[in-house]
Amino acid sequence: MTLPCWMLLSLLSAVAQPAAPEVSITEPSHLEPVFGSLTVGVSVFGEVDEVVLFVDDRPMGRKTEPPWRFLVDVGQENREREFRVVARGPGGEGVSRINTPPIKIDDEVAVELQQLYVTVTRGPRRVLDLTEGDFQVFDDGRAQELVTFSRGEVPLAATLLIDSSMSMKGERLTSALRGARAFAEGLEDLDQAMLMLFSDQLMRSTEFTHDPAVLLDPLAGVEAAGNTSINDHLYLALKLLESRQGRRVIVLFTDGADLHSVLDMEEVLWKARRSQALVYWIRLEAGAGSNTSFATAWRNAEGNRSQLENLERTVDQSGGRTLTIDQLSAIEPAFRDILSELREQYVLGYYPSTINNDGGWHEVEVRVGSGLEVRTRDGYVDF
Amino acid sequence: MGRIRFGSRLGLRRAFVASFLALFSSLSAAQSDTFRDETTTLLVEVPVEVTLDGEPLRGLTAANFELYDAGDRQEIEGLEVVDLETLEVRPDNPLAVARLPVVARRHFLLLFDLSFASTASVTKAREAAERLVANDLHEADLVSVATFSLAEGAKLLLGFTSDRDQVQVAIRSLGLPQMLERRSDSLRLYIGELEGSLGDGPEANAGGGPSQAGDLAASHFRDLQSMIDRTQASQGRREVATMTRSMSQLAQTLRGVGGRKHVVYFSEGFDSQLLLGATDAGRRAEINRAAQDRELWRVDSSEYFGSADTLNVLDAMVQEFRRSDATVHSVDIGGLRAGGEAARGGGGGKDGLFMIADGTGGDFYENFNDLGQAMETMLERTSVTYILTYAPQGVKPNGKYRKLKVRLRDGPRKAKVVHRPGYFAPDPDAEASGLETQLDIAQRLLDGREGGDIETRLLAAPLRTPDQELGGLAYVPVLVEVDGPSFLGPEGDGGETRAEVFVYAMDAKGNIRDFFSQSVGLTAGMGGGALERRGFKVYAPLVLGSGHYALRVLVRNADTGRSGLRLAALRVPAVDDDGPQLLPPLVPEGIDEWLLVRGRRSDLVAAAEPAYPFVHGSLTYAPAARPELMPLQAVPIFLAGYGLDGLTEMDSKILGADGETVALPRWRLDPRTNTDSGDGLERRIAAFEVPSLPAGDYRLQVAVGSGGDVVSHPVHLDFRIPPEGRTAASRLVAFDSAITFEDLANPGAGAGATQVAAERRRRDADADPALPMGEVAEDYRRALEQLLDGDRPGAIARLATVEQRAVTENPQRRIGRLARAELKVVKRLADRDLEALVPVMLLHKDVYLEHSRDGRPFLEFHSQGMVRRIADLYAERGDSEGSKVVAARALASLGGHLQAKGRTASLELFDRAVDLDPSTEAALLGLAAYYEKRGGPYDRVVAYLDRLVEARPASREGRLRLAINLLRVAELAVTLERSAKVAAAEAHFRRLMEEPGSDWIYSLAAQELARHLARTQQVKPATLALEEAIERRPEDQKLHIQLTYLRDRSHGAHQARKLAKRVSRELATRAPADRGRYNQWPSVAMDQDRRELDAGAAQRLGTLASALGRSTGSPGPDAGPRGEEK
Repeated sequence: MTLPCWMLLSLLSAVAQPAAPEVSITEPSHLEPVFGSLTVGVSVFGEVDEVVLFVDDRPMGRKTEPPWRFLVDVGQENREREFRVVARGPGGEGVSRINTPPIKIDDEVAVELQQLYVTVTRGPRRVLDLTEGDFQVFDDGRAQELVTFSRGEVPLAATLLIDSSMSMKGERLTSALRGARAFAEGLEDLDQAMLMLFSDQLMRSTEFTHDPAVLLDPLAGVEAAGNTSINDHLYLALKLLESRQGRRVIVLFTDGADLHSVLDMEEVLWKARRSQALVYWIRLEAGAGSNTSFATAWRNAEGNRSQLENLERTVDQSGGRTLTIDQLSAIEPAFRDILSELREQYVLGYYPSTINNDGGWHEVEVRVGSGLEVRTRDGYVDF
Repeated sequence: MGRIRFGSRLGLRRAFVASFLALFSSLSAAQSDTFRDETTTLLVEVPVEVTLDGEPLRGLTAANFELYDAGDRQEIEGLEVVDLETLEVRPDNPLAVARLPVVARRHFLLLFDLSFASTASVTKAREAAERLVANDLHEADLVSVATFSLAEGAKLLLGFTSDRDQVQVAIRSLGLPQMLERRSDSLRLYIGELEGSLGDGPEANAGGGPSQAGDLAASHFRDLQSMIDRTQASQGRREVATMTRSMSQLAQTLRGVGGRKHVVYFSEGFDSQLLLGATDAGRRAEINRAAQDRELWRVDSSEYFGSADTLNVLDAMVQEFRRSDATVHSVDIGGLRAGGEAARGGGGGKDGLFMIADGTGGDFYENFNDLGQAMETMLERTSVTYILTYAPQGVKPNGKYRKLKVRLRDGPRKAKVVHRPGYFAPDPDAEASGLETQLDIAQRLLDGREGGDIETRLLAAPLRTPDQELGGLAYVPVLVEVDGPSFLGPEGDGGETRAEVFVYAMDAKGNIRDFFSQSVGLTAGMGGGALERRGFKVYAPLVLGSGHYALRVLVRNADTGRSGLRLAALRVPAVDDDGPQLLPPLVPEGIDEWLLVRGRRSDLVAAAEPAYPFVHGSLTYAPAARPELMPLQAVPIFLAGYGLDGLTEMDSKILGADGETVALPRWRLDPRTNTDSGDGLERRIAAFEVPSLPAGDYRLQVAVGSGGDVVSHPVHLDFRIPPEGRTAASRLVAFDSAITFEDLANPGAGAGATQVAAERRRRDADADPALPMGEVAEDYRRALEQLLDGDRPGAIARLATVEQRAVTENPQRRIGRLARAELKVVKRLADRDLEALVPVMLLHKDVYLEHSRDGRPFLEFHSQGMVRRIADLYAERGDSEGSKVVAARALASLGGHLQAKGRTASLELFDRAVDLDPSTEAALLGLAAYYEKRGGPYDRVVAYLDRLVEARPASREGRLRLAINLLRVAELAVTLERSAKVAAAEAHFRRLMEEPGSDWIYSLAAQELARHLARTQQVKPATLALEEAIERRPEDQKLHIQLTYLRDRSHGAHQARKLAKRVSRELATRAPADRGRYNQWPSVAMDQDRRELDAGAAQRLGTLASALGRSTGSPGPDAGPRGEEK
């Protein structure tokens, strides 16, 4: 008697409870080495509440409704990667995973899918209601077909590069760190960030983390000291971001100009052009009489001016922007504004119709309707 | 908004000509900055003459004119009237004529035909022309001289000039170079002097005897004419064609000259049959018969009908003159000929001359021996010029001719309006000939309206020189200051360019009394970026007799055509004038603020040229021609001049842009007069406080006097107060503490000179009961005793307190008294034992730091002065190498402190230290680092470091800096030199890396070597150098970052990532970067010097004790100079 009842109850229970969803990764192939931006396609059967994509155990995307396609950036590091998809539904979890292999060379590899992070504004306001059809992308003047389109949901890998030189002593540094804190606290689950405090040396830095507490830990007791080396640390930040997954972002905060870098900004520009990182520069003006024409033992006035111009060029070409502020109270809103802009960007992906792998420069142009302003990176290096 | 002013053809080609600024120069200076945008509007000026019954019509206004451009009615924006009858020319007011707009001045081109004229006629024509110029033309008229010959074409001998002397020279020489003592003037405004007796004028030749000049000229003319063969009509036609084409070219060239041109063409003309066909009835009948008889070989159709070709080119020539706004007045010099000579061309030359004159709207003069009388009507008719200005819209820059029409409204019906028939639209692509460019530049130079797109300032200082050196003339250095950004312009591409600087001194009549021109090749980044940052200054030497002059300075960018004009009045006193003379106030700027160009004149004997006058002691400076000053700034000034002794009063005021007094400045004056430079120039050091005035341009006017009377001519300095929120661009040289100032109150407006009585003030200060000299000396002595007690910090604090207390109430006045009191004690000590000065000297150096730290600028100056005076005293009296070395080190050490604060006074201290001991490492490093930190000139940096490394090969910092700067200099060097410099730099770097140790110098040597190698594509050696350095300095972030980058670029992305991670995870540090040490001051060498100095001072404490009359630890009874004070 007991057995049939138990079996009956079990049967009834099986009918009432939905089955766990079945999930499988349709692309990329487990035979294919992957780098940079790519789309991960997922096939799901059954009832699901959410589908979460992990790459090397790091959550990279979450969706609650089809299409089950994730646009991700897995970085440029040549290594094996694990893609794991978890589909959760009323019936439980379905899991699928693949491992993509590294390629057997130690060199840069072609980035085929070009991903553009695009900010569209009308006057001072960002425009948020555009659709894929509103965009036209031109690569070296040739119209391109968009293969991916999304808005702001690509996770961030951000480096906060904070000038902590002596000129920042006191309220300036406090305000800057307050801004960094605001940025860190605005991060979402899938975002990661690292903090670099620099003067003419790298003073402190963290690992990439999505935990604001870990990120902000080095801020305790930090004191301004030394001079300013922007170039060296911006390069370092670009290099460290290179292997990160997601949308790579650098937020540089400084009140001065480069004095003691061993690298020229032109060399940093070289790096920035090969990176897909967006560089934002919060530029605290030193106030009235701020001198942008100065000579040092390392560079004459012309040399220093050129450094500054190249920094501006780096920012512009990356698709980021310079936020010039002259009041300390504007620092925190500037950090928040950048984060908000990143959340509201359109992400367009396309396969360039012409790839030469010759190290040449591809000029990129994005057009939308009239009256709208578009900001994205100027181009990329074809390598 | 910028505008192109029509006035010269070349001007129209340029993107932006800012003569517009000059037009509105009466507007406030604060506004002037707002004019500078690059939107261009064409501004056309049309000189118009209105006559009624041959008399000029006066009193017309803009409302009386209607103007049409290509048929479209234009709005007349401006009207300027120049009436030669009312224009007053006074010898002491050379600017009256100089300030006339050049387009309003009549331009006369005296054109001598040397081919279609006999020798005797040309000679008579020369005389007639000379008389015309001397007696009948107005001082405001500009005159040019040209010749025409079939052999040489039309040749411009002299550009349009106001210089009647030069016109005379040109007429007499008529292009014979062997008659001239030439001095090259690229603008052809000055062609030279007639050699010796060749200069006899028509008066001298009136007796009829042939002169040497006459013989030469006659011979020359005969040569030219022998080439003409008039035996064949076809030949004659070719000659006429040649003449007309040549004249057409001349007419085209005149397009570039603004204003109405009157070409006075002296010629006997040519056979009119060549133009009109046979006019003789007999000859025409003969041709008819030949035609009827079919003797066609005897018929020349062009003889019968005239040559169509010849007529065509003649028409074209007339058109060219008309289009160039040139009127040809033909003078048949056959009518001037001496009796007995037959006219050429079978007596038909008049027809051709008439045709040319009539076609261009000019007159034909025949048989006039008195040309002035003949031209009287024309000269009177053209004596009033109305200049109409308008801005046509939609003019395309295509170089096309646009017709103009001016009509008179509400004027007398018979009034005749004469104006240019049109103008050529700008053509950016047109190429100008060399002559056109010359004329264009000369026109710009002679314009009366200052300004332009290059901001140019000038300062002239007439110096007295001994009679024998410059023949009784004064040497007048003119400093031309050219603003770099406006010179380079927005289109400056940072490459090479060429500046042309023209400086002319003209008397009231417009005669050129001296001139100077210089072409300067400029390269981006010259002077350590000084060119782009500030600009350049050209030191132009002029030599002038006494009198009043108009100085004209034109600066031109030869590549872009941008130019700037500045006019100034100059008064040169006689060199034997013993009266007081003041030079313009000299505000010293550091010589490295600007790119300095020392102009040289080949015609001046080098030995006769006085030395560069802008020096004070060891300070060489470049005076600012128009400094930018901030309100309330204390501005250092050299008041230099002659015969100033005993003049203790000064009258000064600040004038606004409208010439009205806006403020009375406060002055401080060092009462001493410095004549050390041996040039007889007295230099007084002063400072004036800029009143609190709004942004704008101002003029400081200064005169000196005595007994309530102003006795010197006032001199002035223009200065600018920048807009609020912008700092002044001028970086003035600060005076050192050796200067003690006396306060000067400025007189009230209209109160005349104010008694400043500097000497009396000094006496008053010495008698100041609140600051007895004896007490100061006693306090000073006690501070020294505290030093002897081994309490150096206490001694420093005490002396600082003593000095502060002494000057609290009135530091400006009491600082001098304090110095005198302390120096008395010092000298007493030196008399007893010179070595006692060493610890005292260093005590003052330390006290300097104390004052500096606590922000007491007056006492900082005081301490600097004390160290310098004690060091000088010690070195001079010691008269040994050892004492010089110690003094040099002390000065270098103090210089280092000043340099750390960015004070230019450090240079003087370093220089003095090197004078005393040429191998003073800290001083040589200091001098090199000073220029290096200012961005150059790097060759000077290398020169100092070369000296250092030669004197002290062990100086590692010297070698490091030398290597770095050798690479900088190598970038600008020619190939061979470059290779040598690069090799030397690499060798220095490698040697530094081979030496033991791993200090900051090692690290920087590795970094810079790697940077250099990587830039020259030697990536592998660069990588190896960095890897080697990282082994020695594994904690060095910069080496790691550099290696990361190199790996990244050379297909080592993965390794680069590892290195980057290492930096971020393991090498973060709060330690300052080594690269910062390179950019900071003081140097290691200075630390070493200080230690040695301190040790030396400690050793000499016993000597100091003896000199003070006590053993260390107890004050001596007779040490105090207090008793001596009593």
